[in-house]
Amino acid sequence: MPFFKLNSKLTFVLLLLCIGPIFGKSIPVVPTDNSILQVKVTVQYPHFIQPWRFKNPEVRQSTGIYVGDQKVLIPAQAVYFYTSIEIKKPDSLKVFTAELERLDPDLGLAILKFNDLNAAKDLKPVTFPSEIFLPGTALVMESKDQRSLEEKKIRMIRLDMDSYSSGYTELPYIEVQSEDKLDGVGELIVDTTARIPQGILYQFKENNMGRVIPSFAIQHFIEGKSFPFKGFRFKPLIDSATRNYYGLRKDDLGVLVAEIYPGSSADGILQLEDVLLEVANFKIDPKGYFDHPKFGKLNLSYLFHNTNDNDSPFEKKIKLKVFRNKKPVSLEMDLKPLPESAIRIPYGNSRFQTPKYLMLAGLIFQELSEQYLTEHGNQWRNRVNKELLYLNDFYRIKRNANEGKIVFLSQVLPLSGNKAYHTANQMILKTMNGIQIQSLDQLQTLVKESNSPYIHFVTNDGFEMIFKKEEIQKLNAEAKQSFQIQKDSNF
Amino acid sequence: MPAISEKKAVTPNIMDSNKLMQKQKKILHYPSLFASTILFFISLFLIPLGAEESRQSIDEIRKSVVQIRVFSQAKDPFSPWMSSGISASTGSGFLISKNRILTNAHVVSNAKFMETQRNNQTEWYELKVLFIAHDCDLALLEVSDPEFYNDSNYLELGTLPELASPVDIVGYPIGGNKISVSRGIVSRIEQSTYAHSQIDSHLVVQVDAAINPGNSGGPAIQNGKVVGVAFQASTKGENIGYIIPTAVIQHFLKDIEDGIYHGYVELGIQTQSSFSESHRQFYGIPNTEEGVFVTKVLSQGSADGHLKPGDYLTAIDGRKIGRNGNLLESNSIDFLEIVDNKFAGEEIQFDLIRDKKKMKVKFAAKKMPQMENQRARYGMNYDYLVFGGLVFQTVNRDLLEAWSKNGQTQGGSLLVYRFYDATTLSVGQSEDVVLYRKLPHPINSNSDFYLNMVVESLNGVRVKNLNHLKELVESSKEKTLRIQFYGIQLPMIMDREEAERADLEIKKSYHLTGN
Repeated sequence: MPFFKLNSKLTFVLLLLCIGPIFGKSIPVVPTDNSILQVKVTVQYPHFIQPWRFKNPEVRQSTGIYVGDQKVLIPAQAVYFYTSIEIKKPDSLKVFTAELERLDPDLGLAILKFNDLNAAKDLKPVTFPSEIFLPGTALVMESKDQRSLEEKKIRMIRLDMDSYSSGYTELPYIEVQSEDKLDGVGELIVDTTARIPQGILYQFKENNMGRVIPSFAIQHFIEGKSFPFKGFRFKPLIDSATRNYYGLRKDDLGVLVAEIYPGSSADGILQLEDVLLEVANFKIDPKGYFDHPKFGKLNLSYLFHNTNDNDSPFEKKIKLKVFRNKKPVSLEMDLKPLPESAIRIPYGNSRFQTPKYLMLAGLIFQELSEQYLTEHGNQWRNRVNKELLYLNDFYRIKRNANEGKIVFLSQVLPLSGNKAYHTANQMILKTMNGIQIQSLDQLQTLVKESNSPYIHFVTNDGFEMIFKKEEIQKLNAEAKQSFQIQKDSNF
Repeated sequence: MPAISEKKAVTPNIMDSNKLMQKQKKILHYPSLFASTILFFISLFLIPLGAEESRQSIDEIRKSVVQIRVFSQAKDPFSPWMSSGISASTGSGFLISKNRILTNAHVVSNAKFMETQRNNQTEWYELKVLFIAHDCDLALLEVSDPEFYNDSNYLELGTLPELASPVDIVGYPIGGNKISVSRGIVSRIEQSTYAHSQIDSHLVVQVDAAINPGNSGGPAIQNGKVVGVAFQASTKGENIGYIIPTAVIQHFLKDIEDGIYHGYVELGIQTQSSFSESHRQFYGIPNTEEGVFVTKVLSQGSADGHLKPGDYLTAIDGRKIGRNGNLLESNSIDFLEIVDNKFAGEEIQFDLIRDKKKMKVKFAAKKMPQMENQRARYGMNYDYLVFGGLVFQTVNRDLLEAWSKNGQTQGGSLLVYRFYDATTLSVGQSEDVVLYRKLPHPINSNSDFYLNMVVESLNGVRVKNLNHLKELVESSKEKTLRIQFYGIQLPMIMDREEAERADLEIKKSYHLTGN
């Protein structure tokens, strides 16, 4: 694609005008189309503090949009840990069931597939084009209860970049505003005049502001493609002392590379303290923005994470210009999706991950996740172990590929055989028989394969717990019976 | 400043001097119900006698109890260049020798001017502090005018009162200028945290008598002798007060005999109980031996260099230790109480098992300097450094509380975690230095990223303490200062000359004086 070789904004706009209609299958959506569905999902979340338990089931209502081929698009937030999915078509009392086909936790969207092949017979699929009209007015199409389709007005203000609903990767979103009260649970947004789909409303706050997933990102997801991730974080470079230190002149632009994810697109390409001057021939200003010819000032992440066909970088090499050790260097980067292996402490949404646990002699070991900490209520930051909190704040991402997960003793199930350790809780496990512990899987294997007569745990603050190897299974059996726990581990 | 610090309903997660070493245990358990019932009835029979005796001595007691009026002003730890408002409060005290007045440290903390008066006196006499001990909440005062002592009396110290025995709390509560006496029963004797320093843990006597603001520093009297000093109340229930027993008072008085208050020593270890047979067998501990395992030895504590993690402590000064850490002879006193009663330089002797061999280890008791920042502090200036409008200070309890009151509850997990974990200091470092606020100026508009972070190094030199940071900043000839913080990979860059120029404007704009 020659787009990134073009430097002139004028050429870019002309090109957009020429190729726009080729990509844009602009099919309008009208209220009689039978495209908007009501989805009722029953979910049952796991218990992060007592990971062998599940919480009470809850029901989540959301809007579903029929996208053809028996598939319905809904917000991912609605289907995490689902137990049953029911879909109702407009003006129909019959309820159809569906299963989850695919989900993207960063985009916050999921695709459901009808179980009954006849379910979609009279439904008209919605096609998401690659064009969006900014700024402009739009309509929000939602279906509530047994009533007919409702339409409310919304103003689409601008395109920006941010992570969605606690996802990990920044993606484009449209900022919207409305005087009406909206739910932000997957309603379809179409432009007012041509009724061309513009996106899906996934968030709406009390200040009447909301966020819409743009249609080109939805199109990309429906096509089954993954989303690229730049693999680094940056820091603005706006003070003269720092700029001078890195050898930049007064008028130079650029931001500082502050964090690199191991195994990511940037790993081995960029270095900490590189000053990123240009991406795909676009100059990056000291706050991290570039001038997009159509959308105005945009965060540089757009040049890596965007999936708009017109200027998507996906599956292409991206040219970078950096200032390294006070010298300009030209680089090329292949874009890959976010490497989950770089995440040391899972944060944000649950990404369908059930909390893992391993019980040894009635001691419950877990891997640290943000969900474990936030389960301690509104005041969780004051309630949890300060060291766990600190690690969660500063060490979510691995600093090198060798760093492991944080394994900790979350609680001791009180039995007479482990009474010496009943009060221990929220302690980070450092070693087992002298070996550094990096994951629950490793701990489980080490205990199973140990030839030592003793299993010797040491926590970060020197607290020790010692059992004879044969005691482990005996105490586990006692704990399972006494506390009604099904298994020694859940992985 | 309240004349009395209320005891917290929920003990905060603090680095208690004893909790630091291991979970706090009660020094004395309740006696059996039977024993307490007997004691209660005995005390009932004794009350008329005791009351008679109290009546006989009440005039003498009146002559020895004083009211103290204090005008105080503290420094603001969040804005250490500023002083707080001036406040007035009252407390009590009593003569313990011809011209020495004992009271609580919290009664006279941050005092700018103090005066006192005895019962039936009309004049107020100026007071001065001779010794103040914040770690055990006691202070010794003196009046320079000999007229104050005319027709006075002083009280003698008694012993630890029995459970269920009556005590009279004497003082000047709730602002009244007439002496007040209220009677309570000793309901519990235990080791507990002293609210004044919020960290030190010593013996306390709980009584079911109201101890109100103004009572602080007054004597608790039994059979005409002082059995304690009233000092704090419980927020858990009504009419529960606490007195500092005479053992603690005597420790204080002995400490100041050489004219200096040295303070309490710390053993500086963490231990865990040895109830687990597997645990004991792993370390080869014979079944006949009781004791506790050492899990951690804190740097600069008394035990540093003498005890090791994995040591099994079986006796202290020849007194055997049980599996729960209490002395076997009573099974109610924590073995750390033996250390609590010692003075700096006195010997501590342990019998222990190390690497399956029995041995004896002796070493001198000493104070732990890093405890000072853990303790609430009074009557002092907070040292700080302003550079480029960025304010650096030592991480200490007062700053942490002020920081919390200023709504800084998010994002400070590094600061808080390192404060509560005494072992995070690296070799050669004596305290953490935090960039905790900025005085906004264009030069520091980009520094929010580093707020509430602890300084690790400056231009590659590891920062040991605030003074060291000041020295490094002042002596640097580099154009650029590169400050590295714990947990952040990128350094903060400052231009030395620009920052110095900005500081002249900042100090003027924000009315910074001194330092």
